[in-house]
Amino acid sequence: MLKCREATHLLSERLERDLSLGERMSLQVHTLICSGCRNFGHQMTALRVISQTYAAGTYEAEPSDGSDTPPTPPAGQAPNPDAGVGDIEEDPIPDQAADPHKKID
Amino acid sequence: MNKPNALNGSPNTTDMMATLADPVFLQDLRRQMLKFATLQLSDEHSAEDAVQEALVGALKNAQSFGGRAALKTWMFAILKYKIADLLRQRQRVVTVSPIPDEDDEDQRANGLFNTHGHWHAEDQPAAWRDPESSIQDQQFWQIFEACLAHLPVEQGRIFMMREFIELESHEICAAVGISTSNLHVILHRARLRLRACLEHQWFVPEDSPC
Repeated sequence: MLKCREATHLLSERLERDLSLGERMSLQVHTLICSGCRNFGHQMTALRVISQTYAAGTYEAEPSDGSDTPPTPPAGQAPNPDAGVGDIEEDPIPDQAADPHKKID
Repeated sequence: MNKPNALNGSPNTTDMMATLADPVFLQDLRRQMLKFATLQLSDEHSAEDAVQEALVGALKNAQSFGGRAALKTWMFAILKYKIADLLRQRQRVVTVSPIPDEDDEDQRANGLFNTHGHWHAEDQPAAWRDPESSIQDQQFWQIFEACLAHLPVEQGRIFMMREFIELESHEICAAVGISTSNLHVILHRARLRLRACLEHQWFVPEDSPC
């Protein structure tokens, strides 16, 4: 019986290579009974879509082509990634708040 | 501003000339591209060169774009192509180095699961509500960038090579000097970290501790 640790590894590896029939079947059985890994699987797909959107440079949510909406700087919702990952000190986005044009076209 | 009417083409062309003459648009675009390139090349000079070339290349064909969004997509596509080239070239100069934080990372990844290999209750992935609408949200991208920046350096670099630049596994292995199974382990860890960060910071935010 597949454990969550191996299941997540396969769910990640699925993005790199075709899984064998045996691997696919054990995954199917596992995700049927494990909602955490089922969610993880959906999230891997979402993460790929998110990454591709980011890398296409089209992630600024422009309301329409060529329009000049005024900047809406983030209001007090500074990200705190430490809660998710824990052990890194540097400031990931040093000048975001100071730069109202950053996310605006 | 800079001779927007120099070309007496279609209204489309005029629009585009106006767009390209808009210093705010160009500066923002350049900054965004530079940030993207620097993330992956970890070298400002190469990043600057790549962005410069992509901009010049795209501007040559600027009148064929229907609007800012299309122009931007095109510029990023060129930039990605240039970054991929640079990363592939690097395999000749980069010395193979061990992934420095491997052991810590191993412990950390294992720490998400109990001794039976199942999720600890607090680390178990939750359902993300409507990821599609998140990508329309500017604040989401700030969180995403912050989470990305919190990956261990090597992990982040490899994740970006795979997901942003879309290099093939063997190309990444050659560029970084690791085995395929090593690559899969690193990508797995990066994804575990990223999904946890996005979940806690965006999709299922917890109450911030006092």
